[in-house]
Amino acid sequence: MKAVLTRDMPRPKRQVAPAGEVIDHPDAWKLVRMGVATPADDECRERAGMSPEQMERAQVRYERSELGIHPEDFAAYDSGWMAGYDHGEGGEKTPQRDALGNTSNVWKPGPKWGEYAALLDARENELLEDEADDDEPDA
Amino acid sequence: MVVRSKGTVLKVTIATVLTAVSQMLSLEFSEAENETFEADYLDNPDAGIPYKGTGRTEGGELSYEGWFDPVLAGHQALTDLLTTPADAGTECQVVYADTAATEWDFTAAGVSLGVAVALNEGLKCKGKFKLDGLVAYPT
Repeated sequence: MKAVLTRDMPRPKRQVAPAGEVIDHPDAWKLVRMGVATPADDECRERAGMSPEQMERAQVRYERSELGIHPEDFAAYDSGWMAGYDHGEGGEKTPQRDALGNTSNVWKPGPKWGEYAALLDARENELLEDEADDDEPDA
Repeated sequence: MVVRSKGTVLKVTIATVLTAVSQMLSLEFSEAENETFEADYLDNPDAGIPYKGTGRTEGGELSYEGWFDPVLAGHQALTDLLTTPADAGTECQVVYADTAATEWDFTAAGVSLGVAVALNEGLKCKGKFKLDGLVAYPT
């Protein structure tokens, strides 16, 4: 059973299997399911049982796993708001909850970070307005 | 320098390549420990009990906990190891979220996996990888 790697993959003992390498192995279909390969023969295609769209989604999910995205940030990653973690050189940033309940101060901005920043601004403004309303003396 | 846990990745070998197991919540290596024996003798004039090393080290185990998804290929890889234990062990790796992306390679002699279902919680899995020998610690 054969599958073709769609990305460079590490092997034990610091070896690397380059993208494009054909893996001939009884478990090759699992690599397709994992999202790191596409089928290279009918046996693998049938065993993996995935449509091209499903394979594409699996590849996105694997990217998420490879980056070590924490489950609580899956939605943010999938939305393009974040692209991984940036704790700063030496990891000195402490994760802190923002107004939307996320630890966005340790996110590497994703392609749609601007969208998230706008949501965050809106939420912070709402909170400020609520605070201002609470401070107003009763008539 | 503090290294954050978020972004740490567990990888298990599937079809000769190391693939990331997603949705992990925690990983914990138990203490690896030099084996010692009590080396006291009857005419020892000192009160302190002497010990010697045997020259062997117990590698311990890696415990994990995660959100379990029964159809996720990475999680099926773990159940596959239960149904078909790998005679030569399974090559695994933990990649830390430090700036150097430090890798700890190890061979798992065996794995365990349990699943917890609770009314007020998501489906969770937890288990252990029994280390064959030691982690290949960076030197």
